[in-house]
Amino acid sequence: MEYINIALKAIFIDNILLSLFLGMCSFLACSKKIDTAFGLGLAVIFVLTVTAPLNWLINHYLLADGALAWAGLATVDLSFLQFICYIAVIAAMVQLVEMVLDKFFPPLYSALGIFLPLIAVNCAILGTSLQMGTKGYDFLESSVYGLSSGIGWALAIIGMASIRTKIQYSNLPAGLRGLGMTMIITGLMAIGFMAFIGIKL
Amino acid sequence: MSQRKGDLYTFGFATVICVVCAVILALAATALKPRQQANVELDVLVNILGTVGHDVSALKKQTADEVFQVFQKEFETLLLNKDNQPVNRADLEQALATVGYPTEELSAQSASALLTRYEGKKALLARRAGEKMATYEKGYKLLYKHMNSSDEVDAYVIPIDGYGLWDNMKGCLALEADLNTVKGITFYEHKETPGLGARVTEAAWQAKWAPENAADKKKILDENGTLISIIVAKGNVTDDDPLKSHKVDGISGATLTGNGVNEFLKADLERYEPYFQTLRSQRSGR
Amino acid sequence: MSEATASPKAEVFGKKERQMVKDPIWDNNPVTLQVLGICSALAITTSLQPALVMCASLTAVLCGSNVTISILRNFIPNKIRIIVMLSVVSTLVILVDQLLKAYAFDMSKELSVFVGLIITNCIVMGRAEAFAMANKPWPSFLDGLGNSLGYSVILILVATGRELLGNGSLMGFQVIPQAAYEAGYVNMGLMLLPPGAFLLLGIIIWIQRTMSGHFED
Repeated sequence: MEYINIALKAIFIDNILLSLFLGMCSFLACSKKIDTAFGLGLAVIFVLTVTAPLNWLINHYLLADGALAWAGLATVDLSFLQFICYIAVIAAMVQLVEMVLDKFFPPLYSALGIFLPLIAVNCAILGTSLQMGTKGYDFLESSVYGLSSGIGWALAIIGMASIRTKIQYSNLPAGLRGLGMTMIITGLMAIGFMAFIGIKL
Repeated sequence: MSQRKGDLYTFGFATVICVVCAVILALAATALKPRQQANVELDVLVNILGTVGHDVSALKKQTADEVFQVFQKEFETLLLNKDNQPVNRADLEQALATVGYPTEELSAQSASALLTRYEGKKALLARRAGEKMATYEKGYKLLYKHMNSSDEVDAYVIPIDGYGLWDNMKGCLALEADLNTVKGITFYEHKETPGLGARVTEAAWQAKWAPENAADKKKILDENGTLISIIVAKGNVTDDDPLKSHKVDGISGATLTGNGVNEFLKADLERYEPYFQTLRSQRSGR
Repeated sequence: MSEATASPKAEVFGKKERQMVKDPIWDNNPVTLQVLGICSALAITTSLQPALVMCASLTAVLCGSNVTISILRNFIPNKIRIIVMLSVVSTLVILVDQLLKAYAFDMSKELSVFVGLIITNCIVMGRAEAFAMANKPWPSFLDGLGNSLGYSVILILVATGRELLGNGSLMGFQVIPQAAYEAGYVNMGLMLLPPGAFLLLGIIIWIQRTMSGHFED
C-alpha cells in the first residue's frame, strides 16, 4: 500500500516535470511528435528505474554519513561527493542504453538523435536521485520512486506531444509559436495535475 | 598540441581527472565542514531563543559565540530517556565515541547536534550491542528550561518535527511555566510551498500562537487537564468557537501544511505529556 | 586590415568580444531562444532573493567551467569528452554548494537541491560543448559571462513577476500597500505555484521573441 502511495505521489502529485520543473529541456525539444516522445519517455523510464536504486546503494554503502561503517570507517562522511558520483552512474547508464538501442532498435536510435545522450544531463534523472535522498526512502521505495517518476515524466511528454500534434495547424501569433505556446500548455497541464494534491490512499 | 594517443592516454587522463577532482573536493569539504556544522547548530539555537521572545533577525546578525553565550545564560538543557529520567549527555558521548568520533569533537557539540548524530547512528550502535534497533531504542528527548533573571524556570521549549505537505518540518514550541499556555513557536526547516505553506516561518503568523492579551492565550490542555494540543484551523478562528483557546488561524492556501503541523505537534506533545504531568504536579505540590 | 590567412588579433575588449557578451543577453538569450536552462528558471523564482543567488552561482559555474574546459580542450580524449566535462562542472558545483552551506546557510536552505541541478543545467553543458571545446580561455570566459547575464535577465524578470503578483513583495519588502489589500486587492496565488511560472515564462518568451524578431516555424 505504501508503495502505491509513493507511486501515485510521484506520478501525479509530485510529478517530476509539472510540479518539480525537472527535465524541461528535452521535454520542450522532443515533444513535437508522438513517436519521438514515446521513445524518449521509455528511455527515461528505463534510465530512472535503473539509476535510482543504484544511486541509493552507492549512497547507503559508500557516501552517506557513517555509510562506510562496514569498512571500519564509521565517522567518514562522503556525502559531498553525491553529485559527482550520481552523475557518473547516470552517464554510464545512458551510454549503455545508447549502445543497446543502436544494436536492437536502430530506427528509434536515429529518431532520438542527440537527445539520447542528453538524457544524461536531463535534470529529472539527477533530480530524482537527489530527491529520494531527501525523502529518506529505502531501497525498494527508491526503486518504486524511480520507476514512477519516469512514468510521470513520460506521461507529461506524451501528453504534450499529443496536444502539440493537434494544434499544429492552428493559427498562432508568430512570437508564441513553438516554445511560448508549449510553456502555456504546460502551465495548463500543471494546473490539471494539481487536482491530485492531498490525495492519500 | 598533444595528440589523443589512444586507450592508454584516455585511461591515464581519466585517472588524473578523477584524482584531481577528488582531492579538490575533499580539501574543500573538510575545510568547510566545521563552519557548516556550526551553521546548523546556530540555526537551532537561534530558533529556541526565538520562541521565548528574542528577535530572530537581530540574533542572526550576531556571531555564533555571542548567540551561544546568550543561550547558555538563559537555558538549561535536559536530556531525558524513555522513562523520562534525566540522563547525562556523557552517556550519549560515550556511545558515539565507540563508533569512532573523537571525544573532543563530541563534547564541543550542542545537545541537539549530539542527539541528531545519535539518531543517525542508532542502527549501527544496535548492531554492535547485538540488539535489535527496536529494543535498543533509547527514546531520548530534549527539553530546554528557560531561566528568568531570578533563576527560576519561566518557560520550557521542546523541539517539534514531522511531515508537512512536501517534506519534514522542524521547529520549536515554547510553553509557559504552567506547561499549558503557549509562549511561542518557530519553524526553521521545511520544504513547503513558498508563499503558502512556507509562511509558517513568518513572524506575523507565529505571533498568533502567543497573543498579547491574557484572555486570548492558547492552551494545550482543556479544563479537565486532558491534552488537546493546538490545532491550526482552516481559515480564521471565530470568536464564538468554544475551542478558541486551542486553535490558531490557518494560512490561506496552506491547509495541508496546517494539517501536517496539527498531526506532528500532537504526536510530539503526547510524547512529552507523561513528563509534563510529573512536572506539573511537582509545581502544584509546592 | 589583416591578411586573409592570419586571424585578427584578439583584443581583450574588442568589438567581437563585447558582442560575445552582449548577444546572449537579449538577441540570443539562452533561455528564451536557445531553450536552455529552463528548469531552474521556473523552480527558484518564487521570490527574487533565491533567484539572485542562483544567478550568481550559475555565473560562477558557467564562467569557471568554460575557462577550465577551454584550457583542457586539447588534452581531453574524444571518447570520454562528455564525462570529463561533467566532472569539471560537477566539481565546480559541489564547491559552490559547500561554500553556500558554509557562508550563506539560509540561502542554501532555500535553494536546496537546485544548486546541485546546476550540473544538469543545459546552459552549462551546452556552452561547454558548443563553445569552450573550440575556443580559447578568454573568449570562453566572455561567452560564459554573456550567457549567464542572459539567463539572469530572464530569471530576474520571472522572479520579479512571481513575487510581486503572487506575494505583493520584492526581496521580502512589502511593495503593494496594505491599503490596496483592504480595498479588495488579493494576491495572485497562482503565480507562486508551478503553473503560474509556466504561464509567465510563456508570456515573457512571446514578448521577447516578438521584440527581437527571432521566430520558430
